[in-house]
Amino acid sequence: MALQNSTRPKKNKKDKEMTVFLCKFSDMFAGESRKFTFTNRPPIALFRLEDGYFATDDTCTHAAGSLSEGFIEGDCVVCPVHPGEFDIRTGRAQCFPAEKDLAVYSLRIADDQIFLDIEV
Amino acid sequence: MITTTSLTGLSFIQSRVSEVERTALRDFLYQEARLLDTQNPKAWLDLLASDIHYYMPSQPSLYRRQLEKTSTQKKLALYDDNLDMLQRRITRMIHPTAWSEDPPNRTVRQVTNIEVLKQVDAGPEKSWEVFSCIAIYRSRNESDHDLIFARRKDLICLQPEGLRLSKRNITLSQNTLLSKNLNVIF
Amino acid sequence: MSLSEIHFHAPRSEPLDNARLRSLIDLDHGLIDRRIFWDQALYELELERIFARCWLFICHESQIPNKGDFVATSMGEDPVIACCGDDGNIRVLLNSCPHRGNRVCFADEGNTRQFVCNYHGWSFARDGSLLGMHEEGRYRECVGFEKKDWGLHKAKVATYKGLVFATFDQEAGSLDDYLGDFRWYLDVLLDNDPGGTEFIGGSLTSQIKSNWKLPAENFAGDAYHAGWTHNSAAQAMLGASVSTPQGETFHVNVNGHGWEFALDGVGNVATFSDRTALRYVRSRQAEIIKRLGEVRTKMVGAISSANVFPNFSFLPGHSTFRVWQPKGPHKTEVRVWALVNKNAPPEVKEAYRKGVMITFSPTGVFECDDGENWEHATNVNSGFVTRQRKLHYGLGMGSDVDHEELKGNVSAGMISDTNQRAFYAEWLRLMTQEGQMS
Repeated sequence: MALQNSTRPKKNKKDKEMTVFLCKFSDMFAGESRKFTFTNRPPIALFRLEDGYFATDDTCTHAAGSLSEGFIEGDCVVCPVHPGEFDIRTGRAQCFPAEKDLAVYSLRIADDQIFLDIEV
Repeated sequence: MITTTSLTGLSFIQSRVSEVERTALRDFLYQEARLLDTQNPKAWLDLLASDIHYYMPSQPSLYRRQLEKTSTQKKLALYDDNLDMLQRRITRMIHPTAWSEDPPNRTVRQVTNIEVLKQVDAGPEKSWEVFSCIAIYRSRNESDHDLIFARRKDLICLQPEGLRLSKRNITLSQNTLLSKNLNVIF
Repeated sequence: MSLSEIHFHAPRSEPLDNARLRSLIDLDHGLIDRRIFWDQALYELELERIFARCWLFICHESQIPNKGDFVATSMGEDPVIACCGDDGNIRVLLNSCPHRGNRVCFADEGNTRQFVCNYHGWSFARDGSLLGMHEEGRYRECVGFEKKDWGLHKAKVATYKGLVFATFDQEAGSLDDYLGDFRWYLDVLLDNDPGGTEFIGGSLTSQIKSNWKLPAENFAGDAYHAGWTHNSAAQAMLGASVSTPQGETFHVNVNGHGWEFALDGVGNVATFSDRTALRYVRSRQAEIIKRLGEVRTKMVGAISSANVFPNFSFLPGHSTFRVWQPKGPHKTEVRVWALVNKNAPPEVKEAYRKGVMITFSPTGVFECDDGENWEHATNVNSGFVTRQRKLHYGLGMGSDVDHEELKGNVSAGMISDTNQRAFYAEWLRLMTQEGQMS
């Protein structure tokens, strides 16, 4: 289930790029997803699969579905509004009506904490 | 001997079924249809093996994703009969007080698409798996009529008295049966 | 030209005001006008005043136990979907997209995450709310458009001991009030075992070219036809004619719902050639007496039939349940299920499954003679002169009795038209929108 989590991004030295703390590694179990909202950019979905964490845009590229409220099937997430699917690892759209790929984001794990590097 | 022949891109696998057997099985199905069309259901009963299983499941409309997960076993079916149940149906059908059989229905059964794919060595008797399609046109009274299509998968075995139907699995082409009853043998 | 097209050319005489409607049903003399089985305008009024107002049977809870499970059915001619929501509650949703009207569900049953219209991709959640649509961005620019206003239309839902009912009349009284004391009778089948009931998997659907009221009134009270219509089936299943039940027999009715029965305990269930179900009913009689009392125990498998107004019928004993869905004044869709106790052993459930199939289903030896009677009782009324003749529903008038235990309106003798008259009294009350339920 999605967990709305507003965080204040910590500015780092690089222009317009932020590092955001999302959660602790042990906070989510495999097959779970969460939503993180920001003031200046669209929300992000965080997924935990068997082998780790992955982050994509939360908003389905087809309509306005929240993918963190979708259904994880293997390595894919199915949008809860229409049955469009995306590969969680690559963001690639898998089937109609999902035709445009999702943006994916790099995560860093340090001291059991998961950080997201994003542009705002 | 299993042989494969190629004909205009299609390949045929013929597995120990001779032309004589194939013809005999086809004629068995035609004879069955004629007995039923000519108001002789008791003679049709004689063509059944004592362990007959006559099965026609209902055909619910299911999404493709559901079809693989759904079994018709142990659900309400149109027919799921043994010999005793079929005998009772025929008893009713020929009884003088079977009002909806009098005047008799007029039927024509067309049996087509007969394929004998293999001989099944399931027991002491020789038996064959036979696929066919059947179209039954039934007319009643002045203008009451149905045309119903189905596919059949049969197990026909050779007993001392001749060929006998041991199993029939019927796939009806209708979801909602567009007829007030289905007291016809497929 | 098909039968259902002919009525458009039939002259329509008087308007359908209450005086005209009352003239169709003469309960004092037991006479009923044939037009109620033929006339298109009357039928349209039935859809409005009966099917859009009554509590209608939808499904058994056991058919949709898991989140996202659904079955498709209809209420009158309105297609609906019964769906188990994410909160575990059953909702009954109109199977018509509010955008352009297309169906949003084409399967008879299944499990789904959402219902998506094939036309413009409007997507609805299991509770009917609008989740989103194709090209949703354009709707954000649509002034005044709010997704929360455009979900699937919902019916009001209530259950009684596993049976799910719904009504489109948001002002309708409770289901308990609608069923009234008929619940006491329904418990004969729904509550004779502490584990409750379930439908055996699957259903059988067929169409008959008959007005829906003919089979419904038949199940409400027509014990009379069994000895004649079903003689051939009785010979096949019992080796003898339908026997006249010994002892007391009754018609009981409440609010237009009817149950006719003998107190022989096993008369209906005995028509299964396999005795497993019969032995099961007999073996449980002592236990059922403690739960329901002696009289109702004798009803469990007895020669009997029943109808919940307007169109939900069943045969105790055979345990076959069905709805008669109206599809025009001359066509009815019949959907059949089989009910069993959840705690019944597997071999007993199997006996009921096979028993229902061979007796009362589209291939049933009993049922196949009913369809013709009802079809011809309907289509003969295409004749103008025929249609002027009244039908006799006067059997059993004046046979009302007081009974110390039986609830509702009780009359003696199952060979009677009492329940049929009660059925049409309720029909008339709803059609004229007059009077109280009785």
